[in-house]
Amino acid sequence: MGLRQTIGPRLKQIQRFWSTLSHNYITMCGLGIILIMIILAVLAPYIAPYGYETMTLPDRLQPPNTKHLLGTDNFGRDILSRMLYGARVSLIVGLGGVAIATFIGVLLGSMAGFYGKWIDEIIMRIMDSLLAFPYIILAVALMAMVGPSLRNIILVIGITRTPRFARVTRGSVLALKEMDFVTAARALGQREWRILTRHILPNCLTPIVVMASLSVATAILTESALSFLGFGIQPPQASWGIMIADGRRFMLDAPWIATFPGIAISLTILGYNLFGDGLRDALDPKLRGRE
Amino acid sequence: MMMRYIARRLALLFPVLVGISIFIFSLIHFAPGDPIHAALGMDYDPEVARQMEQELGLDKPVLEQYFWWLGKVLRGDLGRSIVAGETVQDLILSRLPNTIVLALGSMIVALLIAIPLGIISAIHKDAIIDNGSRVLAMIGVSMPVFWLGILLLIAFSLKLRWFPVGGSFAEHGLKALVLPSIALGTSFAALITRMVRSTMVEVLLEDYIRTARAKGLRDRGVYLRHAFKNAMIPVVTVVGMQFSVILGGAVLTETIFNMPGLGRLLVEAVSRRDYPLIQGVILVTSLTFVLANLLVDVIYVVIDPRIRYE
Repeated sequence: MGLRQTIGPRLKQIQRFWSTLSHNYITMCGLGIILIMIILAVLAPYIAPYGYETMTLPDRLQPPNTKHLLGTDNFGRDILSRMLYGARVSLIVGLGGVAIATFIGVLLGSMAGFYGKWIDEIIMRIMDSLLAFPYIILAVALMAMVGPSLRNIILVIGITRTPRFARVTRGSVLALKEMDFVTAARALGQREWRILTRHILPNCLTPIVVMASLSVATAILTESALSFLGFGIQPPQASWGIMIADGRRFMLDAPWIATFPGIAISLTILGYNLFGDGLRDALDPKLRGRE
Repeated sequence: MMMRYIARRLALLFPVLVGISIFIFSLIHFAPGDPIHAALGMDYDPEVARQMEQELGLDKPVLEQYFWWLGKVLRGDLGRSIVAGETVQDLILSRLPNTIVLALGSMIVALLIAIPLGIISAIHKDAIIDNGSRVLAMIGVSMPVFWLGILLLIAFSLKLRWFPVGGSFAEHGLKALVLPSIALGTSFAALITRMVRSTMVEVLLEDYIRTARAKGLRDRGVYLRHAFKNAMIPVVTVVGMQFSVILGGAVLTETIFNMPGLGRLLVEAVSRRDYPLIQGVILVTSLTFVLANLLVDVIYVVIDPRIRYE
């Protein structure tokens, strides 16, 4: 089969998907917010007017002005600069945590769904046990065990999100493994692992991708909550959660310290939620059928 | 048939409870460094440390420790707080009612907002009110609960002085619950609104609704007698699932509003590396969540006769 015959149908599928997605203006707004946040995060070291820990004590607790566009905090640190560096933390934690959860969750879920029997029982009972803990409480407990640091937050968020990916993947694999194309692959003598990775998993991508997009929002929210409580990112590193914690004491006199990071978190999560919802609608065949 | 369903659910619960117990037991063992050293800090004394080691069972082999600890838990002995000196169960029992009251208050606030808004949005699908409520729901879900709590505290407690700045239900009555319940209930309300709207829209397309209208039943009767009850069935499950979000959110809300609940107790325990207290609080919250889910599953079977006969 020629290159055009193999790639052609796939390209058409992607074009159709993009056309559905791009017609939803709310989804495109979400994507726009996400892209802006990513660009700001990546360029932070180059566009931030000051370092995230640069203190200018004579300038402390200043409201927004021409020298400090979003004001300063109680240590004279520029709020805008700290927010840009905080965006980097959110991006790293969000993407890193979800990447870990996706990798481990898909691996465990696909094994549980495909092989079944005692493998399924053991894996899913462990996942159920993790899901039995309220999410923030599980994250706080894990941080208590491993200690606060950026690397540990990424690991903890990855572990706490893993059960959901495992469940979603298991469900998809269970539905697909009884289908004719899998039977045909077996009849052709293909190995079990190859059937799982080459035939089944690529057809499970839809719910996994939607879950990943929505999970980034949860990951960013969890990191900011942990940092707010003092169990996440540690000072002087900048995180939106720490900024809100620091600004809490000055909310009456210097409300900008906590207000701007809060707006940043809300906007970022809104972006991922809007995009994730739109992605789900665009990828869901039942909803496409209704259109 | 109902009893068989409950028995089956309880049987499935057993491995989950074993998993929870193993995880909670492991907290003290996977913590970096010596847990007793970490807990005592500057007050470290070798004699006190040895006593604590015996009290916590850390002088035994790991497997023996687990069964010894499990035996104590099953007898209701959760140990003693390293920092406070009181028994863990006393500390938990003194704080648990505040968290339960907060959780219930948040659920009430959430349902009071979500159910009417969701129904109205579904009835007037794609109208301004529907789009407006969807935008509000999205914003509600996106706002961090601790940030919203701070904003509410500043506006209504510090500036307007309508509500106390913090404290418990016992100290200030219902007034102490209003702002924390709104803060915690808002994102919950947003999720439930979307759920109610979605299920109501589906139910309103069903044949039996068309039949009810054809029989001459007025809109109000259609919505309240037929659509609402059927639309609420999946919402009950979501409410149960979201209970864990509320318990988790209580950690943040109690910290903001200075409420003496389990969430704040956990934060204090983690800050001081008080492992017996950490273990006790996590055990109680996870058991509460597991039992709440079981209750929701049973309620679901009671209100939806179709499930009973599957």
